[in-house]
Amino acid sequence: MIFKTKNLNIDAPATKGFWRSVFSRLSRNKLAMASGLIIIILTLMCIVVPMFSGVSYDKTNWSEIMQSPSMAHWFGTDSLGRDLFVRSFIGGRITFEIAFAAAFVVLLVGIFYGAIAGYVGGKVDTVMMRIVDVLYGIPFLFFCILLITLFGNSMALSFVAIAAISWLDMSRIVRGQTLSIKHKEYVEAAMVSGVSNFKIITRHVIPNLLGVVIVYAALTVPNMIVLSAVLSFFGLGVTEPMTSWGLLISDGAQNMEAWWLLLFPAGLMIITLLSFAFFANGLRDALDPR
Amino acid sequence: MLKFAIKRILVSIPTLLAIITLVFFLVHITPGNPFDGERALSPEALKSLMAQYRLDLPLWQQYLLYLNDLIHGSFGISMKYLGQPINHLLFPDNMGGFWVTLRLSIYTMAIAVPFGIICGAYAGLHKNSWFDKLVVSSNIFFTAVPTMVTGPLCVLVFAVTLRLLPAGGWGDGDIAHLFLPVLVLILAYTPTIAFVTRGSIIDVLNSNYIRTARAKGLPTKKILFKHAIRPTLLPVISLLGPMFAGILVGAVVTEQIFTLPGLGVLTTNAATNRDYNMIMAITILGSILTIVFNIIVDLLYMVLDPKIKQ
Repeated sequence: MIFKTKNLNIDAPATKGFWRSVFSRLSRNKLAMASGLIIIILTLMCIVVPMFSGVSYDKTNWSEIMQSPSMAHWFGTDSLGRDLFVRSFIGGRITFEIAFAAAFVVLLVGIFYGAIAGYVGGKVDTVMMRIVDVLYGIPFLFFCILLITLFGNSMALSFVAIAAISWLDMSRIVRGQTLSIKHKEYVEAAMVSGVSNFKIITRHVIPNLLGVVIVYAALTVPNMIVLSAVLSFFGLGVTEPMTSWGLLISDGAQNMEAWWLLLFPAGLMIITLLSFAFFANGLRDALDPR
Repeated sequence: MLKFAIKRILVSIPTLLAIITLVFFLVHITPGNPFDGERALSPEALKSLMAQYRLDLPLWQQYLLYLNDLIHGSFGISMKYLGQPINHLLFPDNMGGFWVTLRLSIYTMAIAVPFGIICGAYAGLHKNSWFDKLVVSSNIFFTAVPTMVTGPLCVLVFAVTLRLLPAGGWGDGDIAHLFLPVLVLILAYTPTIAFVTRGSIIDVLNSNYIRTARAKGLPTKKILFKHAIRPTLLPVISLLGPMFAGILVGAVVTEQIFTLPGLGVLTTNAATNRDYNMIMAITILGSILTIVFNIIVDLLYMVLDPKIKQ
């Protein structure tokens, strides 16, 4: 009879689902919601603006070189007479593509590496984490440039290089979480009933890591944006006539007398990075109310 | 203390060796070599070049010889500036190469660390004041927005619009030329130090032994400088280890923005010219510095935290 009260509680109206209460907490955080909205709007603009603007991002126009912002060219034009408004958003598209792709790879590698190390434990764990420690000792930018130098300079490879050095934090966080999940009753129950290790990791451990992973993902995307932009500063990654925010900013930094070349791409990037920061903060608060 | 220091140094040797091994084999197993590029070389010339760079030897011999070079303090020969030892390019007699990066990093640390700690402590002691809010919000802003954005914006404001300072270049390393690059780096790292100090001092002041000290009637000054300062600094010091690696990389990016002749230029040139030896040298040098700095931080930590002493 004692157990019955426990059963009753499951259907009690007061208990909301975990994700529903997370969402309701998040929706009450105005700054985080506004940031999320800005991210969505910017993403949509990066998709839509280059499609419907009527001007191509690589259309040079020698009679309209270095024009300041006007009704015809909202963000002005660059040293080849190309429209900066269109270029800013096509650059944003490339930046987002690299950032999301790299963040996806980082999450995938980080989650599996960390979950396996944490779950298997023992010698495997020690060796796997020693590898992470060693990679931590290498300054990431130099290693990234080394990889790009070795395998050639292209957009796809630059994102692989970025991802290859960025999964370390993720794997450490996931490992720590896995260690604590491992000793929960439901995992022990699954072990006792003879479920395979791989299945326990994919069915029980990884879903329960979601909270941490989501917050970290929201922090990884802006990091990837910054890293890909830094590589542009070294002339690596995206190449002309294609562009990215990093390339536009480094272009603007070389043509300071045309302030719009720097201010617009830099402004877009600052807005994006701050939005991601506030959104991630909001997510963390919503997932972990103390 | 000495025993711990020696142990700490010995432990980091395998790590460094692993990094060197990884970088070496990554570079040498990848197909192609820097000489099969644009200009076609005659077979004889190629052969002599390969011999000069020991690329004709078996891999394990190359590896051992490279290790031998490193132990003797040599990073080998540049593949772009033929015959030039990399040590001369990295550590030139005049100002340049690593010295520029080192100088930027040291200036940044020397200003950002004390300044950040003082600002953070003040903010923590005056919680919810306007200064506290400034520290918190500037931490959010400057952790999100990197030097590669703030740098050019600073140039636009101070150099191009206000015409107060030169936009770039090393000059003679005078204050006018160094002011903006160092400012950009300080802006990037001070807020984090301040924010961590702030959180730490708030925690410490809420702890029981501080309450006891207050109850005893000790003057505030004595509580702060005798009892609160050590535990407050612990999290800050553990922050400095990873931060140094960050500042090193940050300094390299800043050099690119302000066209300073440091490691940044060498890295870019090495990447575009596929100068494998150079980029290997820079990566390994960076790793050595990171590891050495982490050891220093660990030792400092031990001095401050009696709990670790055993």
